[in-house]
Amino acid sequence: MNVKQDVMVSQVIPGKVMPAPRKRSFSWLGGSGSKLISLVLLVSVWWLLSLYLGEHVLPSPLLTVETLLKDIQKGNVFNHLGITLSRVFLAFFLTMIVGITLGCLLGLSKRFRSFFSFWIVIGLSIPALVYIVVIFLWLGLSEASAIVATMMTTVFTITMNIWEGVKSLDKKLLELGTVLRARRSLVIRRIVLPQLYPYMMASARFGLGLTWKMVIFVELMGRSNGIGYMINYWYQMYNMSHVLGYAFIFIVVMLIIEVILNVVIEPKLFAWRPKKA
Amino acid sequence: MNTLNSTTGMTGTSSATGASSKISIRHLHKSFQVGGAPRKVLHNINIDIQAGEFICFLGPSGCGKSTILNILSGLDTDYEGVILIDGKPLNSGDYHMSYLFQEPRLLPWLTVEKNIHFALDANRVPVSEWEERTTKYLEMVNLPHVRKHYIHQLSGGMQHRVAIARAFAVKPDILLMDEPFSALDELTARSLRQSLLKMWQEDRKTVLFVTHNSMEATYLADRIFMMKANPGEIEETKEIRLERPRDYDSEELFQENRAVVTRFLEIIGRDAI
Repeated sequence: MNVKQDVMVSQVIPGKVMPAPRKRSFSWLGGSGSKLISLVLLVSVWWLLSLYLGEHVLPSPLLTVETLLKDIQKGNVFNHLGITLSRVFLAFFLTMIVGITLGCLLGLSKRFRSFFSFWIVIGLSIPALVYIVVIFLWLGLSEASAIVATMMTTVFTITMNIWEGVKSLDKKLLELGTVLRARRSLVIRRIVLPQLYPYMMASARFGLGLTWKMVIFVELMGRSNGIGYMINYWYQMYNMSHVLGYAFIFIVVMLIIEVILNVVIEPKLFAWRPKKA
Repeated sequence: MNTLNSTTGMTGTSSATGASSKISIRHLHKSFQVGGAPRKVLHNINIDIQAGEFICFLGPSGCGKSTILNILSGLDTDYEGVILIDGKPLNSGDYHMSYLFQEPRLLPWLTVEKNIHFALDANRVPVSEWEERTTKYLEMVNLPHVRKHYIHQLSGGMQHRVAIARAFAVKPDILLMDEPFSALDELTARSLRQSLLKMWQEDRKTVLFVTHNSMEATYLADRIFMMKANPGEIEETKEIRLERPRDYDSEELFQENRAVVTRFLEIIGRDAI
């Protein structure tokens, strides 16, 4: 309230000098500085907990990284990481294509909507574990069933999200396309897609996050390679430092990918938006 | 796919010349259902508009004046009657049309120049002409310096100017305007009316301008169609014989407006005020 009043006063009395904003402590660190401190704190908590619980229950950060480096030297880690990543991206890519297509059909076609919307609701309510078990039973422990199982756990949520986006398309801008007699491809490129990008971006972020968690789960249940398999393997051996090492490298890689998505791609798509301070 | 479908099946090839079109409307009726009961919006509209004429539709809200524009623009296809553009049925001929809405309706994800390019692209204007037309029409609305701006960086009045530039850039044969200045402050509206008339006098489009502001109608129009509501009908056509360019503050315009207002009040009935 005080700040607000200051601003109002300075508008009412022209020439009144606004009080200089108080300097925040740590301001020399900037935004990335506080993030760094937060990260250091997280690792320290991990380390302190490992001291308290013992290395067998919770290996320290140092031991985890050491184990990971040894595993990397043996040459297995990147192999499994690559396999898992390719599964993640294949499943994610297919999920987005199917989800966007279904979402657009639901939003644009009355007939499709009245017939299939119920299916989507049922699809959403089936637990992920049921999909995975049933698909492995039906299609066998194959690569294809791993991809399909992962897709099934995510695709309906993406569909609902895109459908929501199509529903909220600005009718007035579509009318503009009509009165200008714009051909359909131009309307889709210039009027429809730009309004769906935020929904697609939100879906992509959500979809990728869910997909890579599900792939680990699916690998654990029914594949003989990949990060999920290795985590399960070392779990059977009761070896926590290897379990954490594999989880650690994968989480780091996925975080990097998500940061790239947020920092590089999103600002380009939404450059037209007003920037808020 | 209904919302997207209405744009297909149109010819819309470039006629290049800044010509204007003649419009004939015969026995136009329109009604729609309100809570199960049909309500008549337009009753037997018969008008002939000459090429290059500036027409204002003046009427109380709910008289169906915007509906006439929506029918002409192709947004509303549910009506009875015959509409001929240069002697050919609506939507079959080779003509260009622009529609200025009450809001500017610019695409916020495109820059000012890309917004104009969008309209040119939609009207199949060859890419080689885009640059020249964009420059020309942005200069006409006094906004040559905002080409690379996004829409949210412009004031309300500037956004309307861009919308006017976009409407003229496609060199329409017919220009439909639905109370385009009613949401603006009076000073901005005045300067936009002036710009509009200046541009119209350069290349005479057929303009159909909907308003409920009698002064605006008197200032702009060659002829005013005065309408009443329930059902929407054209009660009287008033010709404005003032010389152009007109002065918004002149005594003649004031007198003319008084005559328009007097007649208009007789039509809609004093109790309606």
